[in-house]
Amino acid sequence: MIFNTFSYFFLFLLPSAIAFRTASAPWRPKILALSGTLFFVYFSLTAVGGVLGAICLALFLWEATVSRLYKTGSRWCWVGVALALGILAVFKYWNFATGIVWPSGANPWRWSGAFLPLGVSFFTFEFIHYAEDRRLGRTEAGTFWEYLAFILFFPTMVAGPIKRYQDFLPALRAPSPNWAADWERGLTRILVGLAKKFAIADLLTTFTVHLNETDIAAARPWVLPVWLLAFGLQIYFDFSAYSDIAIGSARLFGLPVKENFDWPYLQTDLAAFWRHWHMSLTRWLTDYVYIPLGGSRVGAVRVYANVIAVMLASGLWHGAGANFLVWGLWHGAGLAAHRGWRVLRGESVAGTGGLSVAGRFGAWALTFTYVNVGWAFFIMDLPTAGKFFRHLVMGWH
Amino acid sequence: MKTLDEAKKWLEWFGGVRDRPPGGDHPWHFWARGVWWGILAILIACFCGQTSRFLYIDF
Repeated sequence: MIFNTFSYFFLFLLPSAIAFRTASAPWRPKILALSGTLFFVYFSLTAVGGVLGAICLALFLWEATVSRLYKTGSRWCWVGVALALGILAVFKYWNFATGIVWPSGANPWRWSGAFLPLGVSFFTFEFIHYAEDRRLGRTEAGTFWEYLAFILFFPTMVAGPIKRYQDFLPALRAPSPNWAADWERGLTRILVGLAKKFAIADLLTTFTVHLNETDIAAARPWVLPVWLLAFGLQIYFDFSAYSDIAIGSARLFGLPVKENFDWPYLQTDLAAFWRHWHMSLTRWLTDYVYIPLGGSRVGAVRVYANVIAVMLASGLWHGAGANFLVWGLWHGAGLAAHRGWRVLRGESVAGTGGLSVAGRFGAWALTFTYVNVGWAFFIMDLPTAGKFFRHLVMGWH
Repeated sequence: MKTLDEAKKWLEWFGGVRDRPPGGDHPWHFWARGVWWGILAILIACFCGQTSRFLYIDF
């Protein structure tokens, strides 16, 4: 969907990239804003959200207008953060939150026509980043059109990588002039992304489609880890493929976008895994949740609580469901345990330690297994995940 | 470990992540790129059309 359609490449990416690169400097932000607008409306109408989804374009225009009021120390920045959180709360968590208060289908506040605006989980994070960084004086304002180009830059609008204005603005003002290298590398990246998506991620659906209650109950226990491992590989190849296409697409414009994955499954501890998996989200959560909570500059108990709180927030961001909270808690507990283990051994929390080859292999195997067991809570709801583990451990039906 | 690092660098170059292959450019890299694009095009043509959505688009 979207990145694997002809419309994406031939209606949007190639014409916009060529127009951007051939335009004079004052026109470039306007070209990005216009192409992002058309992209948002087109794919809202054809893929996600429908007419109401397309109307949500107003959120970008509102944000770009209000953003002109964001200044160092300004309360308007708080308004911007609150608005972005409000957008997320209404569109993504309304039914989940009211469903907690009024469970079992008797929810009088249930929004039956609920829909998700295209890319809402990602563009709201960029709104928050800009408001907060303006409040702290960490970024310049740019012009209205430059900010609109930033939030409507379509290669990263739908699923990241989550950008930073400080990185984007200088590139927007002086994009890479090296067409040949950018297009050769960018197209290679896009082709690799498409091949990873079609030839690996989609093929793994053969296994992952069985991760449902009926198939789990009928399966032999030994096959369950194979299905779960298949999902672990699928989500990596799928999302890294998406990021490849996004980063490759941005490169066609001559605009560099930071990496989102860096061999996460080769890491030998959970903290390193999160520094290499969905890196733009980890950096965002560190800067806008972990550090404001006090980070690691508070007492020991608070540090562990902060780590768990951040991963709970990450879980909830990934989906409005109890299973995502458990997934976040699984990783929060794992990170806290890893931190505790390091502290106990008197090692640096961020270091890799001086492990032997066998030790490194053991650490890798433990990390890989822990992450992949955790995916059970990501792909299945809690009752199904419970049945999965009961059947796996005890062969129960 | 050195071999693994080298392999990662080559894969990153073939993946479009890295601008230059380990050890710098050689004339045969041009042809290697061409063959690689051909392989990718064949893979895409063979496996496309499974119509699955990306997992991470508003999950």
